[in-house]
This record gives sequence, structure tokens and C-alpha cells, in this order.
Amino acid sequence: MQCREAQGELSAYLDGELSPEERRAVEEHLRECADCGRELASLRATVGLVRSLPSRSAPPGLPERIGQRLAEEEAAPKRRGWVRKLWPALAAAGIGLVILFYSPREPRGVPEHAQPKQAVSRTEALEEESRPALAMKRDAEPPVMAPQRAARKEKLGRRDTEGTAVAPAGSAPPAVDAEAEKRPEVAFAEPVTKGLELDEDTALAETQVRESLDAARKAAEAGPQGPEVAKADALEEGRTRFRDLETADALDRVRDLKKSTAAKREEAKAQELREDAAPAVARLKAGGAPERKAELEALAAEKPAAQADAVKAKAETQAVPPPRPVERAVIEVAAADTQEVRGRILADVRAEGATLLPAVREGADRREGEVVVRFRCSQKQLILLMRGWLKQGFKPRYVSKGLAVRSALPAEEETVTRQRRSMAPAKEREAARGAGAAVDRQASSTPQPEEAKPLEVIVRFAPAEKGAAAEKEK
Amino acid sequence: MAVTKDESELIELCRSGDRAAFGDLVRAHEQRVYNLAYRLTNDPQDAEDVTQEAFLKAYRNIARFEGTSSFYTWIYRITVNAVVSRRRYRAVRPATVPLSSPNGGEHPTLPPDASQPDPADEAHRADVRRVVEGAIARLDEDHRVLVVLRDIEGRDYQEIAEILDCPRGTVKSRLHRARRMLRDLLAPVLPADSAV
Repeated sequence: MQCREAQGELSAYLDGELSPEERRAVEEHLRECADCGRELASLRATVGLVRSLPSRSAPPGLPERIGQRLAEEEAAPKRRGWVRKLWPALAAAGIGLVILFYSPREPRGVPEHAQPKQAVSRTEALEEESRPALAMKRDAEPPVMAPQRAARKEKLGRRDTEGTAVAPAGSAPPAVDAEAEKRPEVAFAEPVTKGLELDEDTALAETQVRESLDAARKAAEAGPQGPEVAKADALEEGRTRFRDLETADALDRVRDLKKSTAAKREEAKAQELREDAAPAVARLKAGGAPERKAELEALAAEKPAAQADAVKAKAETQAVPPPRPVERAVIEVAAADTQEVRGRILADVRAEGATLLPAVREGADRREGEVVVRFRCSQKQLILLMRGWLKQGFKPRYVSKGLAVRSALPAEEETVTRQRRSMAPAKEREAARGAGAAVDRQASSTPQPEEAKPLEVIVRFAPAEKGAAAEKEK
Repeated sequence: MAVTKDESELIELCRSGDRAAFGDLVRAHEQRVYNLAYRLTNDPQDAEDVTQEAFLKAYRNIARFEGTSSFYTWIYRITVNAVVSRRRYRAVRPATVPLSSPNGGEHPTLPPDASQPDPADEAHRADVRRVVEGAIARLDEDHRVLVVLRDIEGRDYQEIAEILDCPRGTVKSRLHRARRMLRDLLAPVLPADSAV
């Protein structure tokens, strides 16, 4: 053994961490080599000094301080683990709540502008989401849901009696579907009519809260401070914790519920759009050129939600016996803050690359608070702009028939259709109507390819309440 | 080393959320953990903070403790990681500590040998202790942790390898390097006959 080799082993030799052979070899070398002997001695002395250091005693009360921090942590929002464990139950409970809270009053409970907003703003997302959701819905009708709940019930071992009666008749096969148990997201596809069943799960989740609370109380009672104190502490802590949990759970549920309502609403909207496009497609089938028809069908099949409007737009503006040429289309929009809206409109128009024109409406024509923006753009640009505005919560009241942008709008009963008018009298009529915001579209009366046809658009905004008043007058 | 029966029972109770059982675990290990933390940080306050963090982390993750190694191996590992992440977090803090004030903590140290009555000798020992503590503190973290685990905590190579989650060969070579560095730092106080 060489010095170099031996020296590498000296620490391990000191520590008794060498194999017998290695040890013998080192000892053999040490007998012959004084340098390595000194090296060993210096290391041994070093180790001796380090080992002579006294042990540091922990400051008094350290375990108590740790215990205190633990208690604080447990009382505070540190409950992720718990939530994670109960996630499936909570998710289901969330759905239940969605249905209970939102469904009955959806028409009024949801801000009016929210629907168009989501319908348009999230068309792409919707496309992504609605397909799996729809697929899941097909796969996950009651026969799957029932065993899933059954499995969960069995797993959790306990449940309340409230709301039991609702298991759909004939939809509860005895076998527990383990696959279903593993897919809590299936719950999102649960049909809207199942609110009551899901309510069970809410109760279940609540039971879980109580159980964990009981466990915590028992644990605290077994604590070292004596039964009385421990009990009082546990009760107090339990109360706080329960309160926290309830609040947090409520928040969780609201979040879930928002998510799933949005998803459902978008899904419904997608369906609506698809249905909306159906007549146009049908018309195309009847009369359009075969390759165009095939293309549109393919489009509709491939991306139903996003493409439906485009399909419809193309169908209405091109393929069908040309729709009545549009000279003027009006989209009334009620706006809360006209100046603010105007700023946004201007920015959007510029961003879209449309040409701003001087506003024409002036003087007596203009109502208080009314704002006019006038610009020139193509059909396509108008559609894009319109979508952007819908995203921002504009509430269109009126869209002229035949305007491609209509297809981007949700079908709503308030969206009335007007006959075409010539530019000048329309202006007067609008002046008479006075309120509401309007998108006036001026176009050539001869049908042209939409991209080539520039539009002159006048956007008028008036305070929302005036718009509403005007709407009533009509 | 397997978990002792009592300890495994305590750990089982901790898993079910029994804080009292965890309190017992803390009391059983606080001295070791604190000492380790103190030697790694060379600061009483840091040591306490690290100890608290380590135990809190252990409690939070008790479900992940598999019982294949001993609890102290596990808690040592958590402690070492807590020190490392703490240092990363406060990267400004220099890795070295002035030699003059390593003993400035408010907690009394146990005399190395209470049967030493000679005040002069006692003073000398205190000096040496300060120098040794300072030297350890001047080692970089990777090497200091080995010296502390082996020569202060008395862990064998295998345990150290588990605690640091590294091969035993690494423990061996790095510890050797650490001791040589330490020896060079301690040269002034080493007995004359052992100087290289």
C-alpha cells in the first residue's frame, strides 16, 4: 500500500469503518511509514478535539413552543391534506350546490351580460372543454354515477339519512365500479337534474367534517394537560376549527360551483350555437355546391362550437340564396359608463386596424351622456370587435338581420331584428329613439364578398338606464 | 436500525393526529436535534428555529415516514435540510462565524468534564473549545455536516449516508477531507506531537 492510498483510508481507519483486509493493509503500512503515522496522529487529535465539545442543551420550553406552533398551524388554514383527502366528496358537494343555488334562478341569478360574455370570450376554451365533457356525459350517465356514489358511501362508511330517496330508479347496479371511483371529474358531467342526489354528498362532506372534528377532540382529550383543560381546549379549538373548515369549505364549494356552472353554461351555449348553425348547414346541403357543403360540414363536425358561427355567417352571407343585402345594421348596446366605454371602443377599433372617422352625430341629436364613435372596417373586423365587446360585458339589444356579426351573438329574446332602412331616415329614427348605444352599419346594397366590403360603423353609447327606458318604450 | 416498539407506537399515534404522542417524540429527540442544529448553525437562535421547523415538518409529513430507518435518522435528515434551505434562503449570511464569539449564546453549556477544578485549566479548555467551534463553523456546509454527524453526533458511515442520502463512499472521502481541513485550521491548538 502506498502512502497516498493509505492516507485516504486513515479517517475510516480511525472510525473503524474499514473491512478487516483494508484494516490490515493500513496497519501494515503504518508500521513502515512514519509520515502516515503522524498524519494519523494529527487526525486523531483533531477528532479528539471535536469530540470534546460539550453537548448543547436545548433551551427550556422548546417542546412546548413546538406544540404551540403545531396547534396554531392546525387551527389556521393548514388543512390542505384534509381537503385533498375529501376532494371527491367536496367536488361532488360543489356540484350539488351549483344546482341548488344556481339552477332555479339562473335566468335572473346570472348577470345578463355574463352569458354572451362567456359564450363568445371562451369559444376556443369551450371547444376544448365541451368535447371531453360531452364525451364524458355520454359515458357517465346515471349507471356510472350511482355506483360511484355507492362506492364512496361504502368507503366513507357513514352517511346521513337526509336526501337518500333520490337514487334514480333502476340505475344502481350492485357492483361497485372501481373505475368510476377513480374518476371524480365525472361528476362534472352529471346531468343538471340530479341536484338532489348530489345534496347527499354535501351532507356526506359535512359528516366528514364532523368526524374529523370528533377525532381532533378525542386526540386533544387524550392530551397531557389533564382531561379538564384538554377538553375545554379541544372544544374551543374544535369550534374554531369547525368554523374555519366551514368557511373554507364554503369557499371551496363556491369555487367549484362557479367552475362547473361556467362549464355547463358554455356547454349549453356550444349546443345552442350548433343548433343555431344547423338550419344554415341544412340549407347548404339542399342548395350549396357539393364541395362547399362538404367543407362546411367537416368544419361543423370538427369544431362545432367555434365554427358554428362562422359556418352560419358564411351560409347567410354567401351560399344560400343571397340574404337581403344589408345597408344598415343596428346593434344597440346599453353601457353604464359611456365615456369609459368610448375609451375602450376607441382602443379596440385602433387595435383592430379599422379606420376611425369623425363622429357625425352632433348637437340636438345627441342625448346627454351619449357618445359616438364612427369608423370604417370590414365585416370580419366588425365580428372580431363585436366579440371583444361582448367579452367586456356589452349587452347587445339589437342586431340587424343579415349581419354576419349576429352569428357571434347569443340568441336572446331581447335581440330584436329590424328591417333594413336607408341611411338618412334611420339616423333620424335613431335620434328619435335617442338612447341606447348603437352600431350603425352602412354598406353597399349589392352583395359582395364580405372581406372586400368596407363598412361604416357608428357606435353610440348612452347610459344603460336610458337604454332600458328606450327599450320599454318600444 | 429499526424503530423501537415504543417509538413506532408513538409514530402511529402521530399519524392519527395525536399531538400528545408527537410531544413525546419531540421530548425524546429535542436535545439531539437541537445540538445538531446548533453545531450546524453555530447560533442558538438559529438552532432553535431550525429545531422547531424540523419538528413541525416532521409532524406534517409523519405519514410519509416509512419506518424503514429510525426516526432520528429521519429527523436528522429533515434538520440538515432545514439548515441548508435556511442558509439558501438567507444567502447573505456568511458561512463563517467570528472566532471570538462562538460562545455568545444564552444557554449554558455543559462543562466537558465537571471534575476539572483548576480554573486556569478550565479557561484553557474554554479557549480551545471556542477555537474548535470556530474552526467547525469555518468549514463549508458539505464538510461541516459530516464532522458534526460523525464526531459530534457519533453516527456511523451508513447512518450518515442515509441521513444525507448519499453513497457511503462519499461519506468516507468527504469526511476525510473535512477532517484534514479541520486539522489545518486547528493546527495552533493541536498537541505538538501530533502536528504534521
